[in-house]
Amino acid sequence: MGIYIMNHGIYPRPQGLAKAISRYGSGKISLEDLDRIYDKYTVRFLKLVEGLGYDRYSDGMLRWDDIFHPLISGIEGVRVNGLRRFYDNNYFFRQPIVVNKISYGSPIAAGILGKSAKIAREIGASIERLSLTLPGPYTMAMNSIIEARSYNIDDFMVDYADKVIYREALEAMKLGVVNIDLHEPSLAISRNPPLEVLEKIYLDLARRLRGAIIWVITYFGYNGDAASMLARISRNAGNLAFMIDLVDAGEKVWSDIADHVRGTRIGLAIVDSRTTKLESYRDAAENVLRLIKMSRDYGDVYLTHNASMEFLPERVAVRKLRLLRRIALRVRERIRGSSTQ
Amino acid sequence: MQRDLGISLPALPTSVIGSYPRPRWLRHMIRLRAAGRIDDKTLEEAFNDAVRIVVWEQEEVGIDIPSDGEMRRDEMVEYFAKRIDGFKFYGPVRVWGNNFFNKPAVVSRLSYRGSMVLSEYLFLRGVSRKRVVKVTITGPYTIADWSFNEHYSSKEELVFELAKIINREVIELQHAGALFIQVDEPALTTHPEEMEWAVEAINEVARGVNIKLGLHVCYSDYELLSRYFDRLSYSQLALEFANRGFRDLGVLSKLGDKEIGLGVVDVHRRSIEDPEYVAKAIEKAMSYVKPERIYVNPDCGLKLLPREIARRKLEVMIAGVNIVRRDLARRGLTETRLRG
Repeated sequence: MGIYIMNHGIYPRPQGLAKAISRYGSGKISLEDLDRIYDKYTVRFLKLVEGLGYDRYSDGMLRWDDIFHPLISGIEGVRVNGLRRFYDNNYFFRQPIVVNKISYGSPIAAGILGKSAKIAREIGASIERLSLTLPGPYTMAMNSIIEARSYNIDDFMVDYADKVIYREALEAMKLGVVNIDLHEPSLAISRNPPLEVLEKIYLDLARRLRGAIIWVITYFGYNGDAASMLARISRNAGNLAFMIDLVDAGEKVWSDIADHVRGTRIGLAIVDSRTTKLESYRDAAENVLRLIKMSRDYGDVYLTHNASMEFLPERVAVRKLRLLRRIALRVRERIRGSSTQ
Repeated sequence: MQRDLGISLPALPTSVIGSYPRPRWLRHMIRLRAAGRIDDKTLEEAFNDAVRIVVWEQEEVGIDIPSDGEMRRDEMVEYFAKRIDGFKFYGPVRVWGNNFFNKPAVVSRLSYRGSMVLSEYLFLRGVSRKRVVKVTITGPYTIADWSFNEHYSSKEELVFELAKIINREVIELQHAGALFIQVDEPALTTHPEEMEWAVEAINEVARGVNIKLGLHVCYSDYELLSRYFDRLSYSQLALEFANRGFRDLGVLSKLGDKEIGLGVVDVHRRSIEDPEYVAKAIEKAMSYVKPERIYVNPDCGLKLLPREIARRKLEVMIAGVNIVRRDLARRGLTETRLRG
């Protein structure tokens, strides 16, 4: 039982790095030079979140173009299509087309994370706080065109979880990483996600990856049935956690959400990573306190931002990371204060 | 009902969506200006020369309705946000891959500071040998959707405020003699629940306008957009189809008396299409729309492509159009009337 802060997903790619990538693309610098620049900015990001006292965080995912790339370039049976809008954002990704039954070679995401884990060790950061990030099975299916005749959506999700997520997670665990983040915005915004199939998939992953904590990160909306399902698994499986987007859910469903906070490991997204407007830390802290009071028996609560931070300019992302820390300090202080009265 | 503006164009008039790759030397000049090594006047001269060159390049490959390639614009929202009072910039955000834009934030009440693209139009008009040129202007919904809103109590309020400002600019252009203005609204279908008022707002931009108004919407849900075709006060819709492998062409059957600006080359892939591919796409579109109501253009702005590839894509587009034009000429169709 405690109040923590977490970061997840893709951090805004610093402009110095973006320029270096362009220079590499036009043959002006070598791959070795580019690698050094990636490392430099990864060090900067890890020092930032470590310095702010984050309890868990991604490695910034600075080598990722979006939540699907470069992961899907390593999946046999998947082709890359034209650009598609990422939900309702002015942000696009190249859409995967599943043309054949998939198979997977060397884990790509864990390979990249390995570089960051090495950096984390060098700067004295804890590997256990790092997370591996992957698109969740439903989000991968909903954002792909599935042309392979051998698949319906359910079959594809099961296969993707088994062949890609499981293998990536195992590889990451070898590095000492315990947090496996599955980004599932589709689960939050769909009206009728296939919850039975997804419950089996998440439970199966949690069972097979005993030493890991599987985080199902939902954002861009709120689906009460999906959240109930995740809360149920979290209480039963022990190593499954989930995140709810309080910003996009709206206050109307807070009593519902308070139930999910009870006895679970939960991420509460209270800072909006899609607007530059800074939340009031006092109001945000009061909201968190209200929710945990409504829950009566909260478990581990991780305060966080809703979507990846890459929807923000980097300097605002830094401010929001600092803001989250301030909110958490305030919440902890208020809880301590009330328990000593 | 559309009006005949009294001008003839070749059948299947060809155009661009707007942007064209900046010449390498212009990018260098922009960097020099940022470093303070040249003055504004020198950069302005470079912009003017760049416009002359890209207009000439478009006309040389056979484009009927050129643009100025948006040489002076770094980005389609940023350019306008810098010229409207009430915006602030915190830094770039990613759009896709390694492409970023300086996303503005609305921090106070917006107000029209002065004309934004009028001088661009006047310069273009002066250098082009074509009777009709295209002026592009970013629409209010997209400016709002691609900005952070820290000031207005609702996005709807912000969009209508912007619509008044953009309408004022369009009227200025009309008074100056512009014949064809394209309003760019790539974000229009992004939030289906906002479409009702978003369409009303972009129609505000068309209030009091008698010239040709096009609406460009790309990488979007065309099925959703098609439900509003008959309510849009625009005579042409310029849509992207090559990127999606010409799926969704069926929506063209709902165009009514509007024209299509048919996107036939993909601007996010460097591989060059071939003329037969373009011709087939146009013929496929002709099964839904009469050829008199088809204009042909790339999917979207060309600025992210290397310049030589952008030019080759236009050449292929024109070659494809010419294949179909020969067939149309045999059927007696050699021209299209400019309609507003």
